[in-house]
Amino acid sequence: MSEDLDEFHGEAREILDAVAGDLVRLEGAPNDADLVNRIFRGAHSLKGLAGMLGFTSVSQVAHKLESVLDGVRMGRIPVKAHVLDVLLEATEVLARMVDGIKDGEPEREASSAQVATVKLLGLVSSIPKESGPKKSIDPEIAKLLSDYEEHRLSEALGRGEKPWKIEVTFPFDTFDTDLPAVKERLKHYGEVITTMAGDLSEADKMGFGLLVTSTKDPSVLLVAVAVPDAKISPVSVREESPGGASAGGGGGALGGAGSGTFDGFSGFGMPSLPDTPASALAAPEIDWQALASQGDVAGPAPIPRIAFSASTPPAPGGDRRAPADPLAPPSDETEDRRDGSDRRTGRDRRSVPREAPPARREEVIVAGGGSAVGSTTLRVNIERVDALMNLVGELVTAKNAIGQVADKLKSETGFKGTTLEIYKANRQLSRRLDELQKGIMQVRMLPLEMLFSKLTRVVRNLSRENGKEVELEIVGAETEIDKVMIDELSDPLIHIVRNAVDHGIEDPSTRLDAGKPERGTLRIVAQPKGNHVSIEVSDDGRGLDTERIREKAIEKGLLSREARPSQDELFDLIYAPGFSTKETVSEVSGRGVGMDVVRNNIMKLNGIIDTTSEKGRGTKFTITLPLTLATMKALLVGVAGQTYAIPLASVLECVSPKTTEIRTVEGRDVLPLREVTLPLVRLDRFFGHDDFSLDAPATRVHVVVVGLAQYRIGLVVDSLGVQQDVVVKPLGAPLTQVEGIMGATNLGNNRPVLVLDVAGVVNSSVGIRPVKPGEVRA
Amino acid sequence: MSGAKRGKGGNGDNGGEKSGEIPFGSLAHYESATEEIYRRDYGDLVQIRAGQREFLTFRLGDEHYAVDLRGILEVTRPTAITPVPFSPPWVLGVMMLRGNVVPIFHVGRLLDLDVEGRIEPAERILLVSRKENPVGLLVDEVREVVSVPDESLGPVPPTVHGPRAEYVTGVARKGQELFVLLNHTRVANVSPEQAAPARRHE
Repeated sequence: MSEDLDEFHGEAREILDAVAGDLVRLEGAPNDADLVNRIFRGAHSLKGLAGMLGFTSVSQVAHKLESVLDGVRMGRIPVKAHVLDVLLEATEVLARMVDGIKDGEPEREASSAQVATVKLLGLVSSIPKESGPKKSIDPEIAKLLSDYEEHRLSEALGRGEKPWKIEVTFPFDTFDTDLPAVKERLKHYGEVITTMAGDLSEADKMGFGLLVTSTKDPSVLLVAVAVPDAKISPVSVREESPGGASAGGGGGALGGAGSGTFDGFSGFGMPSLPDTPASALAAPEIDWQALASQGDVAGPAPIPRIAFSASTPPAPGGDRRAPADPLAPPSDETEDRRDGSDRRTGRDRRSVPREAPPARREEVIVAGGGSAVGSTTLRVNIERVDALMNLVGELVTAKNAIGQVADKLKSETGFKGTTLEIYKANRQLSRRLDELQKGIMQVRMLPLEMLFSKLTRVVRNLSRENGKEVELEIVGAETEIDKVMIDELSDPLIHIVRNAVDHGIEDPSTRLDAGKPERGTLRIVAQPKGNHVSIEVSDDGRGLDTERIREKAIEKGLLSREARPSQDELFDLIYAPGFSTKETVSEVSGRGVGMDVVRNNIMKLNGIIDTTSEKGRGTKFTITLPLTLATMKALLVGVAGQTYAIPLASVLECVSPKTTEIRTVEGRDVLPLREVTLPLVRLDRFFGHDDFSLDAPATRVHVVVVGLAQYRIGLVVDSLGVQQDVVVKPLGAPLTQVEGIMGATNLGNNRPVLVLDVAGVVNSSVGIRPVKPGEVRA
Repeated sequence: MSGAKRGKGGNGDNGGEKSGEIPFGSLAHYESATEEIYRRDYGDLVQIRAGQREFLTFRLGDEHYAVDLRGILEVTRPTAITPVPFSPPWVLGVMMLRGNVVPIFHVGRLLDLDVEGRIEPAERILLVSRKENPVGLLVDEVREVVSVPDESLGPVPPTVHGPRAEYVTGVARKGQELFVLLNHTRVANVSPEQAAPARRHE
């Protein structure tokens, strides 16, 4: 708990400092949408953080802060001095509350919290009702917009700007820098509302569509874009009556802004709310009443789960629910875990009575849950931790050297006397070093929680945008993994989750027709497995359509028409660069870069990804990763008189088949191993030591079966050695691009041993050229 | 201390926090070692004067070479060198030096001199700096540090051509002796493609 508390304090203060700074900046730039968004996200993160750790008083104030900020960014609350005053005051109060929690006096700031709450609620209730004619655009485009983008669009239209669609195409290599550059240039001439996917017909290019509003002539905009072949076309606009506005004041899922908002927001703007002036002290009570009728409905569930629904059914009357974000990201899994009950109902049970007036006393009681801890979080640059880790690696090397001396003494004098003492001392040293290594490793380890909460938001936004109903089950969010890996894992997991919601899970009517429950289920399960962590993402959607994959692969030239690939080989094709089976490209996924990125990132982490899928039943991706990249266990092998180290994380097994078992298929050696045919790579040939090869006499060979991303290959080596902990060092420039080598390690004898880059070997053996399924089949 | 700098994982924007770190290849680190060795081994041989430049002279086969002393971080004996696949013959491999991996180049082979098959018991490694990390140059024997007046420096003679011309800057004359000046910066900064060409695909 105390670690959580320290972490909470450090993070909360960091967020609040940033929010306060940005609020001050906002005064000078009241129209800066990015700034408002950032502040909003800050408040949102704080709410989630506090909620996760059960600091309800903080999360409640943060929640109200967030409500006001959402009003600000939706343009419903003006950025005026008195508004900023209230916001800044609330931020300061929150900071004091967070300090109070750390000092073990959580109730210290209860009264100022109450004052801040009341003031915030006053601002919220000042939000005017939606009124006036609303302009809307071509529904084809409008449906791609998030609420927030829609708001910005209608604002721009209100200012008399005209909407344009600008289509641009960039080379695949540089689109990630080209696109922002174009957006930046366009900012001077108008507003970039959103970016949509565009033409993808050319293999090495990425097309985008930009929805831009501007008062300028289209030719001026094209000049600003300054991209060859850019096209501009007007977007049709029609007037709508106030009531007819589609998603205007709706649920408030703000996909475009990259963060969620809380469901109850519309309640603030609803006609049912009296137009209370900002100063009215009565506001809180009225508000709670109004809010109480606004929450989502979630039935109790047997296992922890978070439900996402495109529609937000009204709560049954009398069911008083807290307005608190039912999906506050970080809180979700934690609370699930800790309560073992349905997250929402669990939260409701706790928060409803507390939030009901009189709020003051209740919040005090809630806040009393914090415990007294005096220590502080220390944020350390990971490079320093790495430096320590390196040092430990050096010590391990030194210890190994002592071990070798001891062995020498033993052979010279026998196992007695001083020799025995050295052995004992060395064993002690070894044990302490192990502890030291583990301790430092521990510093690098973080739970997957934060990453999973990001996924929660992604799923939530997507399911809303796509009109799908998705239930997300998260298991094992407390599983810890190296910080660096968490960062690298984020993109692949988001891609997989997006694919699942976008392509996998069907829309409700299709599901009903197929005899499935209306609501799809997405499961993310993390669990430690020895030195590895496995993360499973499975959905109960339509599954991978092997026929369509086949057609697409033939179309893209990845597969010949005659090939008869197995199901697994077809699944492998989804990782090919530029592969996507979705015909219509949406903003969300289906740009055809997804699974390629997934594979590359997993490879970088020495991970393995497995795909299983059943048509009509769903798809499951299993990612297996080493716990850390800082040190690794490696298997030493002999190849052509040299010793190489193979990272054990990639090693699945070692087999020693007879040479006669090896077959040659289309010029490549393969080994039938149980039900699969394993392509073989002879490391001696790979590294060009042909002259040393042991072609003739050996009757058995040693094969190290390695797995990487979706590949399994067998590395043929001359001898198998021991397993050892190694610290991998880069070879040093200019030897930075040695194929198949990730670095070298010192085993204690001061002779560098090259460490195999399994990804490199796999890539240059199977990955670079288009995969030709079928050819490795015997 | 070998605070090896890792390429990944750090959050880049911590400009002010690096003071405590000694990244691999930091000049401060190696310069002190150099000065130490320098004083110990050559201290009484040289006197630095204005208008003079100091060179470390060494032997490659039967030829005498020199390199600007300011470019040398350290002189060390070779230890176990592990060959690196796909490299040209002049990349001898990598060697451990105080816990770090250092690429070692065979200068004689790089300059295409006739040095094969000789046994050179006095071999030394000159550690020169590259931007990211030091690189070791294997030479046959280290001779001495000489101080040469600027006017005794000359351009590359026209008789020198081929790879040698690419990696030498000129000549220095000291008394009766003529030294070919090695362009250590050029040698140290060969491109990754030169040092480890892509593997030939079957």
